[in-house]
Amino acid sequence: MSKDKILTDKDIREANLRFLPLSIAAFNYQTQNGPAVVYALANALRKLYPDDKDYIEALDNHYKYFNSQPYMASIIIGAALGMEEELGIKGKDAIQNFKAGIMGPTAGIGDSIFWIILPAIFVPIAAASANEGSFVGWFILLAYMIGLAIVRYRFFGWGYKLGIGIIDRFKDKVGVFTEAASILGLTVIGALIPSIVKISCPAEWTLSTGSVINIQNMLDSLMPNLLAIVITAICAVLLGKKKVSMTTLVLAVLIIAIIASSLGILA
Amino acid sequence: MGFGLNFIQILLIILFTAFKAFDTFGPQVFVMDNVGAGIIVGAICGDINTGLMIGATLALMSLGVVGLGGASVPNYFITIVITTIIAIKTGAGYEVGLTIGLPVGMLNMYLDVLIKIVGGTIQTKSQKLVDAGEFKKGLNTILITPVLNILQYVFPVALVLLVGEAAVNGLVSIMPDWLFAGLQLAGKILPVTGMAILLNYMPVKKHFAYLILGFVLYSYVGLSVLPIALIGFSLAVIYFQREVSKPSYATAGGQGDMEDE
Repeated sequence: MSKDKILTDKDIREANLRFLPLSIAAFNYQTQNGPAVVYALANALRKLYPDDKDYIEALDNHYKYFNSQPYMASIIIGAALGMEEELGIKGKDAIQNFKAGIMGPTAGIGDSIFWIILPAIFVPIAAASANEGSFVGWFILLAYMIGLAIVRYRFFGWGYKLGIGIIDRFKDKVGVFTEAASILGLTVIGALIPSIVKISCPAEWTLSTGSVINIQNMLDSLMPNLLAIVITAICAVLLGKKKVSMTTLVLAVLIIAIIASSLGILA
Repeated sequence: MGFGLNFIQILLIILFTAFKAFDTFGPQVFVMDNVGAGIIVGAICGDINTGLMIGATLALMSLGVVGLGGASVPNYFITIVITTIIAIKTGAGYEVGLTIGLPVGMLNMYLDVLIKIVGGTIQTKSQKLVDAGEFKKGLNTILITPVLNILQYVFPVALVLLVGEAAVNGLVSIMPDWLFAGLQLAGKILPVTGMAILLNYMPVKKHFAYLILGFVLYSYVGLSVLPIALIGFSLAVIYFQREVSKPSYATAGGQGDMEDE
């Protein structure tokens, strides 16, 4: 049964604007981003629940564990607000179950698209172009970020209006999109590794015949930028299969670089 | 003190740092823009090109280093700010800057953990006030954690501005040549760490061919990264169109190939 709408567009916009600055800013280990949700919805819920007892109950319901990828969270919180308006305080368990059930799967989608795949395309382009002393790549990155920000701003309202169904509707296409974006990302990374990692082996041996063996020349004749690939592959395996932490790897790189450079193996 | 920066420059750096913290924890528009962070701090310090170079290097290091699920990760933004200031204002170079900037960025991680613990107390306090009917007070209590998170960024930067110059000068005077050369090499290798973690998140096994393609286009054909990205984009579009036009595209693509987590 659908009630008359109580919340206006202005209320929705206000809740959205209360959520954006807090996304992950009130994070804590107990309820993660729970307080951000409470803060975002507080005024809209006050309008829905004029009675203090109901209002407290509704707020308490949102002081619970919540975490998703922040962009996806905008959709979820928007949809949750839609449910509050539709169901009222009787629906509080349904709302909590909905949030708890949807946050994991959407976090998986959001993390891989917004934090991994898309940055894997735009950040390397900006960095590689910056390494050549050009700002062009950075402008492309800026355009991407601003475009994304405009889209993200609308997520909350979409969630409120359409419910979480919109994610289901796009889910199949999202899989193909992720694959296609990975193709672009991997092509860029394939070019990026040799363009960024300019390492050589300065070691030389003088044979008794007087001729000099230059290791780097030998490596180059095998394959250009071979050292760059080898080092990247070693790091990838250490971080992945060997489960070495990033902090440990960075410290190891520092120490090994100092040793290898002192011994004249790498430069 | 202050690396010879004037009052306005110091103010701008602090304001930019605070803005970046606000954005990173909030709207998240510029989270991935470490290149821009280098450019802006470089511009404030009067050498935009050095900032661009440092931003690019650290942007690559920070690829794939995101605090998924509330994990704390090294703060490479703070590393960029400190490294850029030191590199430009002391003339000691990028390597010396990194020697100070990298540890500070990594230690910042513990500050992050601390605030997330304190955040628990704040959340409890806030809920208690709300339950007692003190709505305004309770809701405003929630805002303490975001403020702490802005200080989490500003504090280490301000500290380095305050006492960092003496530390850098001391470091430069005792640093032997071999250590300097070693750090120079480390600076060349470190961007690899970001790309390496990224490779672990991406479907490398399935799409290995594209990695090779990008490598060949750069190393053998001699194209630069931008045209290679356009070729990659074309291939991605072709893939997408082909998959979507298949009648059963839902089962053909995506699911289960992400080597995530």
